[in-house]
Amino acid sequence: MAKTRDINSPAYAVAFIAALAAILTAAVSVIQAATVGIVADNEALRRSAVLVELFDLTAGRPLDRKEAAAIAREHTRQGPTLSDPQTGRRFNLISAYRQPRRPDGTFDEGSLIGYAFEFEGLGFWAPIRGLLAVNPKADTIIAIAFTEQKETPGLGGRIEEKWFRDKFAGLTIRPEPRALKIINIGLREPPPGTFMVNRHVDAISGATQTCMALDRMLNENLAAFQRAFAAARPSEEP
Amino acid sequence: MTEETATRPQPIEMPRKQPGPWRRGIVDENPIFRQALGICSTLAVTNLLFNTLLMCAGLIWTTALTNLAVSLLRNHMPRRVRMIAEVLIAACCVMTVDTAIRALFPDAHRVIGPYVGLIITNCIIMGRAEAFAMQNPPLPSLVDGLANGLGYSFVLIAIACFREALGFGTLLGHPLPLRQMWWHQWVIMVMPPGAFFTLAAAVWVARRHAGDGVAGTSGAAP
Repeated sequence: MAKTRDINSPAYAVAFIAALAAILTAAVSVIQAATVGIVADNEALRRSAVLVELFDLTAGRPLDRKEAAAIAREHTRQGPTLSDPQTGRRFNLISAYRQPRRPDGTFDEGSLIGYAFEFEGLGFWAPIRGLLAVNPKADTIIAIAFTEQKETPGLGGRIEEKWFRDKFAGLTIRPEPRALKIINIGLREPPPGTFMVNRHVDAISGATQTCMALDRMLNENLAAFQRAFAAARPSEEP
Repeated sequence: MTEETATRPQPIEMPRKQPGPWRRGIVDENPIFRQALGICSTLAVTNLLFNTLLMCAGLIWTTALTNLAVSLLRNHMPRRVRMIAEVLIAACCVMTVDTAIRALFPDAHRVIGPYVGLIITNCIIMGRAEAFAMQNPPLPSLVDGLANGLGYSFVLIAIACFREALGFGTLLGHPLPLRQMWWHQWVIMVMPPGAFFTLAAAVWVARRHAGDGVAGTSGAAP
């Protein structure tokens, strides 16, 4: 009887839950600490695979992640870093080349395919991150990829699907003083012959909120990138 | 007792052998067919068999370990906080599953990651912890968790085989034999509505096979 009373006392209940939470949290922390290196390696491999796909470095030939990592090492280099003079935001560009790295570690600048930079912003549910590849003049999108998103599977989550990402290839991103936005992701197509025609992507039905968030974040990121690019002119750097 | 039942000769009821925990969890009290638990993930992850297998492994692990832990602690657990404790234990198991899949199967984690986190909300876990593990010793509780996890898994795997075969023409990513000759993609099987149809058909077949009476056909009141 005394034991029952003790177990059901408020003090015992609080102590029990606190102890249980502490033990379980410690267990989870140990497991996560043990796998943090593996997860980081996986992320690096995935990033390499995304770069290979963005710049089509294998002409569509499928590769496993380790092969993709080797090709990304041979065909891309980090830099230069640009800074948006208006907001101070920095863009770590990744330069991609059609020809592989020379034995002395340099690249044939004539084979420059373009640059990739990371973009991020808040989606409908959680942050969306990805890489955007642009041509050397930074006036056309080559491709887009998403590295992290937690949108609704089957709806907003479809932004990762190739058919949707393919719609971004070839879009003009040259700053346009007459437009409020650089690109437009929406349901209504712009009138034919207007300057927004080659800046429009059809939104996904049922994923309106995600598409609106994507539209906002891409325009913000592209505007900042264009300012940074105009300020630095990386194509003139060695 | 009414007069009518008192005068009518009653059939002699033979003592029925109670089914074992494995049969109960997998067949007689199958979480999906009988208890309609865990339907959300059934619909969500079954368009590819590999994702389904990972989800099933995660759920079996979580259900079994949660049952075991709850049973071990049941005599020391204050009743007023028992559900909080059960959720804590289940959450810990789910996080270990999530971490393991993130590290070992990163591609699959990107697809089923949101659902792995949602294992915690799977009614099978709390249902079995409350209904069985709180009243039974550790070993039977562990077996009950495994059996219910397996019962859930068998249904999911059957649905996934059907959906992947019709939706992608593959099984575990391998093309089915001679698929150029007979396979035509059923896009709906890849999409979430395909799971609704497949699950409904699977439940109907299973219940017909088990000889269940259905309201409206057996004369039972709806």
